[in-house]
Amino acid sequence: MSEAKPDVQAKLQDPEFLEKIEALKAAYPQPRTALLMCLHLCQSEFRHVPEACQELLAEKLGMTPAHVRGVVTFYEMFTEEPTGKYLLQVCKTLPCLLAGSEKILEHLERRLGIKPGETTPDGRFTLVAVECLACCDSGPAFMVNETLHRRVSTDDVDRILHELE
Amino acid sequence: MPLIRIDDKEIEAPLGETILRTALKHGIYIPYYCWHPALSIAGQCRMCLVEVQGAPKPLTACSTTVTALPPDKKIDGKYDMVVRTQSELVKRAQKGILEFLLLNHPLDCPICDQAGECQLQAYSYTFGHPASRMEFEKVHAPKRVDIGPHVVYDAERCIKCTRCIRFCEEITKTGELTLAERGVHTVVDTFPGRKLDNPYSVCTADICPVGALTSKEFRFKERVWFLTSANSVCPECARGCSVRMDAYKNEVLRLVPRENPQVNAFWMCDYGRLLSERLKERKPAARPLVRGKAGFSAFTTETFAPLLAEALAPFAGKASSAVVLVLSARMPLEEMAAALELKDRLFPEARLVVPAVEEGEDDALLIRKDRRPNLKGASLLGLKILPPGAPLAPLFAGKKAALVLREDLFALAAAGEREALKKALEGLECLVAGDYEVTPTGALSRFFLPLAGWHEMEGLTVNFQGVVQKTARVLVPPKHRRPFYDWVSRWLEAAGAEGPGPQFAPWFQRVKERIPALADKAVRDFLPAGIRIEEVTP
Amino acid sequence: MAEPLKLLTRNVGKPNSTHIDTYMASGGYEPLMKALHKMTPEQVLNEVKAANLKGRGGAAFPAGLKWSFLPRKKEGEKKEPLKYLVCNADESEPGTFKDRLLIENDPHAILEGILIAGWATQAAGCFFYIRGEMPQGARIFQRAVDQAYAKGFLGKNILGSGFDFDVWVARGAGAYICGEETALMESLEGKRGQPRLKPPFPAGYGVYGVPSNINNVETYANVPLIIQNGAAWYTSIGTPSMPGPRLYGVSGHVKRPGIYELPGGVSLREILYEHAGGILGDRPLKAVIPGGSSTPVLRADQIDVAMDPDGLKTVGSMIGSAGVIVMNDTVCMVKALLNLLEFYARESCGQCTPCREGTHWLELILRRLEEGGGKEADVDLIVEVSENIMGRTICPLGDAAAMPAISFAKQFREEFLAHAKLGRCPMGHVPMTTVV
Repeated sequence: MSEAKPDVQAKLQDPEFLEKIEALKAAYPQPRTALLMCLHLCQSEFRHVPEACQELLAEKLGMTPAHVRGVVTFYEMFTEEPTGKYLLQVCKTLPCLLAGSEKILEHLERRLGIKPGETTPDGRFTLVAVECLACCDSGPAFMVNETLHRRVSTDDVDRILHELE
Repeated sequence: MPLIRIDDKEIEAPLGETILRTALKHGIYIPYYCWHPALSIAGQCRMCLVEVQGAPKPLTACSTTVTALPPDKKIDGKYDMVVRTQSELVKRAQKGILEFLLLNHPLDCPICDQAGECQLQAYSYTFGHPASRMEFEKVHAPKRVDIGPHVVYDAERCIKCTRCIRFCEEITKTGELTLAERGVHTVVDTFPGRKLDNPYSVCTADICPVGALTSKEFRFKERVWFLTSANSVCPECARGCSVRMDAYKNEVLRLVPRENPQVNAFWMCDYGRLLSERLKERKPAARPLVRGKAGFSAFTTETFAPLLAEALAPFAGKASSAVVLVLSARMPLEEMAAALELKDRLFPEARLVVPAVEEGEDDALLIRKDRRPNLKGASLLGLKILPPGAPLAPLFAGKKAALVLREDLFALAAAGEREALKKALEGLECLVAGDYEVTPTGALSRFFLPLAGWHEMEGLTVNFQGVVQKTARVLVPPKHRRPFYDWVSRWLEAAGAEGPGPQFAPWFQRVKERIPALADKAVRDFLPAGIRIEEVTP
Repeated sequence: MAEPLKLLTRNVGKPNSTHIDTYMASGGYEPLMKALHKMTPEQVLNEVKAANLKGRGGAAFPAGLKWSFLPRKKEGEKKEPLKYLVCNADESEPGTFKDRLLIENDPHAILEGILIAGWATQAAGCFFYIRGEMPQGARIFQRAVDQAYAKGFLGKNILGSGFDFDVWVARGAGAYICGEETALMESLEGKRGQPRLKPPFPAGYGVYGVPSNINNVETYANVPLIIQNGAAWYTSIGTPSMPGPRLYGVSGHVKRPGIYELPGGVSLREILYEHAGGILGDRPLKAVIPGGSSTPVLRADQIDVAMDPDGLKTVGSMIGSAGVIVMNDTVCMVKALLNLLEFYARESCGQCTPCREGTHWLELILRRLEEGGGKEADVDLIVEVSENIMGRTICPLGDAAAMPAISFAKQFREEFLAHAKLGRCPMGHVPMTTVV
């Protein structure tokens, strides 16, 4: 096993957490289908998928650690480095671009002092420019963790961030 | 069987066979990167696109199979399929794919080890554009990645054909490699801390069509076009993988597997391959040695043989019951035959044994626990095999003279037996040892014969399956280091008995006389992949 | 002007519309009962075939025909061969947002369609693969599934019919390519979403190698309507190449962006100017992408066209997902295409050469053209590179990137050339109309 931080190590031995993994494993005709769901679980738990987690899932689901890593790096919602407490996702694809997403992104960059892909030094916010979120009629789309905000103005963004702070 | 046409060639091809295999089998070359005959079909590189009549777009020859049409639907009234590999569409597709493959490739051929055996280079000349239209900064990716103990990865040269990944998944079943990231940033990678470390890891460099995976040991050693090569057989276990030995000046720089469906498919183990590295550490003997009061003195071939014959004369004939010959299954058949000839002519009463040497277990792929290449050959010649681990000191009990060839007995003996063995060897009146270098056993000898290395001589060897293969020499040994059969010829001559001569050919003749299954074979019959002989009980 | 329909969207906007009781109050699950109790699987299949239900995911392949590719038990065999259905809820084609509407507002309509398809094909169950970025939708659909189990619409011996059927909800995790049917199946198997070589097709080798049928969310949602009202009723709506109701998603520069449920084959002009309220800012229309970002772009003079496969073919485009992206005269077409190529390059799975390398190259060429330093020859190069991608890849993502690239560069060639001549975007000074 890779060296893991104490909190990760503890979680990986927490019976409740392990039970959740077992439940996901049992939820599909074949356990391997549960991999992405388990990775979602880890991502939301640790805000990234630690190596120790990848190894644990590989063992539980009968895969090689390399395979799990290939999966983690393929899907954009999984990260190998921790994201901020709040993942700020601005849709940048054409319909939202036409709705003004550039202004939203620029506003966030200025306000937070970071570029897309970066995290504020206090670890609170990670800003990402994402592709189409499938709400093209109500762009610019702005998703904070799992909450989607539609047709946001820069004022809306300020209000949303203020409520988080 | 469906009748298909590929370009101008009419071919009867089995239903379900791929276009690529069919074309290659019939001498029609279709370029490819990701396809490999021993691996699953990926269809990823898109280099093998061909035009199949009726298909709306070009298809990959590697994955498109021969199909049959009903009699009334045949193309031109007779073909089940018409394939074009040279059409304008195909040429345009090939050019396009090559252009894409080279877009982000560093074009660092001058410092790339693959240069000279690189499929990107080769195809660029045949199928590619003369100049690049890429005017942007290339995508940078990790270089010189220490991906495994024997392999280095360069992600910029990599064309993501995934042969290496499929090799680790399908052949070694170790799964160390994966594609990571995606899009143009896709790379081959391992899990952190779990390197490409399996017993066959360097095969990934063999099958890498470009310079992305290279052998650490061979890196920067020599440009491949300066190498001299010889087809040989790996001497490191009873599998006897078909190999090519590549040498430059006086050094074997690498061993690479040769395709041999009945022995090793396309592969060989890293241990066997790294023989080249172990050879570098050895100090081969250049001159025959005779022990005097002040230690060894070096002789020449011409002066040594008479001394040897004279010293052993008292143990010949009836007295030879006090003689023991310890051979090695590292000797090719011709050397074993020479030892038999020596026994028959000079030491008829002598005991002759071949110790079997085992280590570990057979693996699921190639590696055999029998660590010698020619034990099967020894048993075909009817030689007495000493079981693995049998005590060695008792072999010399009551003996006065011994000949020990190509084995260091101290390396074979159990730790607890070494003292007794040393005593037994020291108690002999005359110990003759022959080997590539002076081993601890050789150091105790009165006469030491420098023997040509496996890479320095010709010979036949029989693997555990009964496949007889021939080695060729990639390096010429110095004047006084010779195959054992050469020494035997000279010994017999010096002893007044006529020998067949020092060359390989007459000793091959002797082998044929002793092994009926080989009686009607010529040297060329063993090339390139050997022949499997029926089980023979001597 | 056609009145908007309330068929697929019949429950949208109702209070508590996602609850099974709400769904059943207006006749929900009656079509399922009809299918299970009054129709054989073959009759259901034939009804869907007769309705000529076209796939709503993009390819407009006839759903009934697709279902019939699945193996059925042969005479004398006791058990149906194992097979699965898959519902593609990985809605990620830019400009497409109709499935989200159904999932979040009327999950039982989708579920009922899946169940009827399950009966028709005698499948063992269905994987509902939903975009990772729609956690809310996943929760809503899972709740709908739980409710259906509780009511006996899912599980063993459904409504006493002897038919067993399960539904498994699985989430994606941020990969457009998983909307491609075989990439989705790879993803369901816990792998990187890399499309498979075809053949074999999913009907022979699908999830876990088991024969599988995959349809889009909206496609399944049409099925209860067909069973309830019959194929003749269904084909009386829409056009021969796109029968039935269709959800048109309109985004970009219109006054009322949104989802409009209208008959298949309605005119694009009608959608833009009557339903979506005309062009934002009352400015001239410049370009329309009719069926999601992968479909070839149309100029303003090409919108008098039926929104169905036959109609759009006449102007060199495709119906795709019917996600209409509208651009007025403030939009730079190079910038718009650059945006799309950024998308395709980022979403290319990377396994096959033309798409991996080509989309990235196109992105670089377009960025230079837009930001300065482009050459006139770049315009032809864009077309050539795209043509070298087109039809040469494992999956349709290559074509999906090449088609907009070729069409933008050809339809708006003068504007592309002007970028090269000027050495930068000639529209840099025109503020683009935006909502915010």
